[in-house]
Amino acid sequence: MKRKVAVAILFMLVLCVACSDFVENVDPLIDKIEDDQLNDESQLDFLINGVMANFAVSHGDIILLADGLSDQIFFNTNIPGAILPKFFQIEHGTIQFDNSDVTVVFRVAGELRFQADDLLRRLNEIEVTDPELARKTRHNGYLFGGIARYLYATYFGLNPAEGGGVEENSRFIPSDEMYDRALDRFANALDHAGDEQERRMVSSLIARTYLYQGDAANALSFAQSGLAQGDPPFRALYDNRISNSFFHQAGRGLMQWAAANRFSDYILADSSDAARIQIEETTGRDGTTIFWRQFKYATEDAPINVISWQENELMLAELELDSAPASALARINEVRASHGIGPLAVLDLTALIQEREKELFLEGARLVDQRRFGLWHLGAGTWQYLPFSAEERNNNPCLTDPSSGDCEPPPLR
Amino acid sequence: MLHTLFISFALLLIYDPSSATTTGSTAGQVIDARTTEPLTGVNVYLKGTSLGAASTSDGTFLIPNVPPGTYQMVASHVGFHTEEMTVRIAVGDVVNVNFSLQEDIYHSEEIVVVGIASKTSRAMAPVAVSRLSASEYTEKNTYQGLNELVNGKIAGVAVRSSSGNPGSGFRFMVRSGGGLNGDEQPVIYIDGVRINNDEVGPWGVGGQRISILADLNPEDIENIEVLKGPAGGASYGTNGSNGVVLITTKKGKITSESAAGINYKFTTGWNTQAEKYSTDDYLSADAANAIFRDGRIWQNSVSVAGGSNLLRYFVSLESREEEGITHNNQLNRKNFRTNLDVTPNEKLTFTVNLGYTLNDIQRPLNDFLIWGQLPNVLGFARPYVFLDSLSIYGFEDSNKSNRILASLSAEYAPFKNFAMRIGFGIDDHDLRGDQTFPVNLTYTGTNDLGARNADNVRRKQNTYNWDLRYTYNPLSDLEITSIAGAQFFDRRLDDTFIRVYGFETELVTNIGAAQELAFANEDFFHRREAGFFTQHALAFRDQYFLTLNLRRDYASVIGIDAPDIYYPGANFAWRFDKYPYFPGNFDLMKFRLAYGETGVLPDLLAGIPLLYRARSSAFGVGAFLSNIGNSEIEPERVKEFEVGFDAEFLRNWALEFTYYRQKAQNSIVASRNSPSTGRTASPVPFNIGEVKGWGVETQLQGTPIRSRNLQLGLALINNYQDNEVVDLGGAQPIFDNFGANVIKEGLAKHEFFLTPVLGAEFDADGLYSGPKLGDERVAFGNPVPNYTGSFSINLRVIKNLNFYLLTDWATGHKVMNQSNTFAYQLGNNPRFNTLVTQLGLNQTGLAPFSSPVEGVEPLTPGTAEYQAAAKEFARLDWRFLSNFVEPADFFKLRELSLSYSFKDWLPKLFSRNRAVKDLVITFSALNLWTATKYSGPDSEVNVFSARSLTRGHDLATLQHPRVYNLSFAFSL
Repeated sequence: MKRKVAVAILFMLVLCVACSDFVENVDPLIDKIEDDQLNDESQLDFLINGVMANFAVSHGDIILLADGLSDQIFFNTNIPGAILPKFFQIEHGTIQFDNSDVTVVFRVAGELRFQADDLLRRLNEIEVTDPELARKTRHNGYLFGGIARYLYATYFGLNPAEGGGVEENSRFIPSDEMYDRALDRFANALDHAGDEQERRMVSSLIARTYLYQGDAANALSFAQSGLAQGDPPFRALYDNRISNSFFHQAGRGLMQWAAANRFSDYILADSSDAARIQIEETTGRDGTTIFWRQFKYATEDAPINVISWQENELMLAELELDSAPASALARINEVRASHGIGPLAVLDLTALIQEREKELFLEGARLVDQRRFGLWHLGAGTWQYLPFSAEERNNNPCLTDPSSGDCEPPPLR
Repeated sequence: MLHTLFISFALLLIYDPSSATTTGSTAGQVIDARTTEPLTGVNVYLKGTSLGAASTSDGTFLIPNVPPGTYQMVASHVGFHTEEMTVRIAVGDVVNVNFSLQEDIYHSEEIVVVGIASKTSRAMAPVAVSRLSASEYTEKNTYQGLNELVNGKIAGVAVRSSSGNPGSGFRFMVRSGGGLNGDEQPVIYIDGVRINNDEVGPWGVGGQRISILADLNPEDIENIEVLKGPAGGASYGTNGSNGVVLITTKKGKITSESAAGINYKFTTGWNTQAEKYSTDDYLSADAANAIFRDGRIWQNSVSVAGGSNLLRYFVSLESREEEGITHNNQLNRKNFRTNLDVTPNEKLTFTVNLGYTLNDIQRPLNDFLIWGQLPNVLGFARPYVFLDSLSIYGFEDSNKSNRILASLSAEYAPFKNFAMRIGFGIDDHDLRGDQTFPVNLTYTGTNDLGARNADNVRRKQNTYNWDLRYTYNPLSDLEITSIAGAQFFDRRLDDTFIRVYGFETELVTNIGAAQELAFANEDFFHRREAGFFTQHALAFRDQYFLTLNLRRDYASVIGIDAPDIYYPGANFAWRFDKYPYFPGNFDLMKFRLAYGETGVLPDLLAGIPLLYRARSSAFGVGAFLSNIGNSEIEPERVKEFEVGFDAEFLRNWALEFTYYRQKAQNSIVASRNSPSTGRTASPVPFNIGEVKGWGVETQLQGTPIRSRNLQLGLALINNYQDNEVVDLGGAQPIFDNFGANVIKEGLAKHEFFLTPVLGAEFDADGLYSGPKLGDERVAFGNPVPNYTGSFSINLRVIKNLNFYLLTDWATGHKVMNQSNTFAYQLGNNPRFNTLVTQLGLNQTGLAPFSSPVEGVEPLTPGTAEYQAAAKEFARLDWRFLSNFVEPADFFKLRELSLSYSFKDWLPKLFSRNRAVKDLVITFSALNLWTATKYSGPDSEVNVFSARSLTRGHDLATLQHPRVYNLSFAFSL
């Protein structure tokens, strides 16, 4: 009997030894890969596409909210598709830190910054035999790293009137410093541009960054070598998987935001402006109120301009307005002519600002212009930036106490 | 005819003509000693043999073909003390033996599971183990699912379903909830097979999902045993930290040729709205009440049970159709079960359990979805602003599952005191989730060309187990049972899903007929676990009981070495009633002490620092971060100490008391990185937590009156639990999606932790400028009750008329009425609108959708009336969730039934045909009445079903229905 018991127990022990092998012998995942599996030259295009897709998400989502915070579009309960009352916080500039929309866009900005920087880190750790692929990877890593920082500096803020960003749980990085970091990235992107058109595009981005930073001289310098008439715009691309936010929140997909009524007045005053202010009439929930719905982005795959030669010309016009008014007027009229709109006879700052809001309708410029030109439309103390989310504030002690540990932003590589 | 066939079948199984002239037999009757009523279904057997029978409805039994000899004859029955007699049987004799059984109020002789491969009588159990004799309750009521069956009947356990949808997800609340991570749910076995306890519902409907346990037929369940924490469940190892629920389905009993049991039960009933919405709370209350209907219930179940010494069988069929209380809300379940026990000889037993389920559950749109039925009638004052009612009710959701739950086991005892057991089980669940947005109906944000979502998910889990058991007596008074064994689990999930849209016609809507593919994808995981265990149980003089156990577990967690971890356990019981000087009024007085450890595994991918997935966009297919892991992650370890006693006294009363303390260390807490890191694709798991929990559970039951015609049974359960998050390792508090429930040091898990509104602020002109807020968040209470309990009455009068009532309660908890936040901000609350008008806040950011109330005049800033209105308005400010946390204590009349057994009438009515042995007609009801201060219709619901971090949020969530049933149960 004891022998039988002993044999049985021995058998059990053999099974026990096999436990470890048993649990490790599982089928691999089919839809996910580990980070180090991407450390290969053959994966670089896959990584670049990922950064670009992330860019499309963040750019569209952020500028929708930025335009909502501006006076360009508005949210109203009577708008036929208005369903998210949290947009009220955006509309009125009384934004809670846990506003779910702001939480999401603050996350995607960080994800874009991380993925762009990580692309460069990875590139330095692998051996790349194709120099063109290495250049393209560097260019995109720097370009989108710069765009991420530009988005922070332009659209986010720690306090209602204090813009800036944050990286890797650092202290608050004010807009001016964040723009510097964006410029560093853009300068590297410029160095690794693939052709002249790409160089002009990056130059325009640099010019705009300097312009918003308040450095007119450098802005002018780079704008002069920026995008030229005939150059295609640099755009965020969309499809039915990552789609245009304006279509789904402020357009034919769902209309929660309506264009300010002055845009219909612009068209009434000059019907040719309808070529660039693409709005259509709808009726509110009360059955009587007229609202204007944009159809600049008429489909969910409509691309959004990030920078265009028209915006470059507008920047140059602004920068030359005092020093070379005739040239400035000519540039404005070139932009107008590109839509078949007749020329202006005179140009002053008011007209220039109006040209900017017409030309750059729903491209994220209006919020910055309101701040730059002292046109803030909401009361004192309201948010002029999208606030850092509660998630960042709760998890990053350096925001409230910059002396708590290593709070300096990571050095740029 | 069917009855005749089964009797013939049973006769074939037990008849052995060759033995007729070489054996004797024994027959007799079993009665209740106190009432002298015959007892049905008593197991009568000859000890040490496989010979036995079950008593019939008149208490009689017959054991034929007994070889001559002297035997110990045993009669055992649930709820009665076992009796033994010595009988001597000679060839050709029919020995008459009668038993008179005494009630066992504590069920001390029931054999209960006290470890993974060990069972003992409750009288000797060294841990608090609860056993629910399910069939006792299914005789009194008709339950939709396990949640209704269990709730209020087991000390230390409450069950909450998250909505009134048939098949809704539900949550076991066991003691103080174990550790921090995991889903705080017990591990569940059915007939030895570990089953999937997930919530399913591949496509969202706003928040509610489906319990995979909704597939079970409560009528098939014989009993449910619950080991409530690591102290009792240590031998079950990983994932047993929130207890172990062991469900045993019914088995056949050895019957004489005339007693093959056929039971048929027909139930018809209806679900109805339990609580009406009031126009005091919602201007749209009439429209809200109009969406409800009386949902029909229609259930048929039939079972056949019987057997011989060689084969025992139980076969059942069930069909249940149930409509919920709103449209697009129903369950249609078909169940088939066959349980076989084959005993070819005294040393060997095979057991086969096979269950097959077809289930189709349809859910309405609700909760956190503006397309929902309730959101459209509780949001704006004008109903269906978000979505047209045709579109809402035109939407279809269907979740069709088919599930095989099967086990095969063999037990072999080659020699005395030694047994080995091997088992294999499978839980194979296929689910097809379909959603249809019909053509020509408009859904906000989409076109009107229709859309289809389709998902096929297969969850498959295999259980393999093996154990050896050897009992020996090194000393005359000492018995040791040593057990060693192993368990292996293999789990897979295969999921493919697709969404298409754009159909030319509603007549053809197959996937291929769509114009556009929105997306398609698949998901897969494979995980294995294994455990090796050993246990040694020492019993000294049947008075002192010591058990020691140790388990080593292994698991596949991708990315790091498979973790292996030891879980020890020890427990001790001491029978005071065995002392001669102990008061004779106590039939049982047992003190027990137990300690055990279990753990919770990290998620499968938790150990991998960064995982990427492919995502398609207009730029091409690119790498997207999908999971952020932690390579240092370890299983959470949960320790529990419990002490208590069990007593049976004054013949009619039993009391169980248990005090426990739990401590979880290395708790895995998933915390999202700061957005500035860019690594926010998923929360990151850390072993940062420590939690402690404690509580008391008591159960008092008694039968103070018991006679032939009158019986009164009472049961009182009282539970107290609390817990505290001791340490988060310096991590920031972890909030749910609403930023309301928190995991934070110094607070109980899931506490509402919010910024308080202290009053109103005014500007220099005396105008209301907003609420006065507290400087920091404070605790507002917890959605998990501190106190739960139940009280039940079983009353039998005029012999066969039974009345059963169950009340239960929960106190010391809060619920957030987010339906009110919704209604306030959308201008649907009359008081809110009045205040808005008085303060002149219409169409502002504070009251964006409120229209001026006719007849209400604006108040003058600076006046006392204005300031009072402002202060009241601040307390209703929908932007601050702290305004909506409410006391949710309740007392419910949960179950009631009235039934009459016609078993004494049937012989008079059908003197020639005794085919129908009993007919029981029962009227029963669930959720009859509630007393609560909570302002919503139901404080037991939760917006994001029953597994999320969000707890105790009522946001346009469907209330539980009041249920009425009328059933007719025939015994043939």
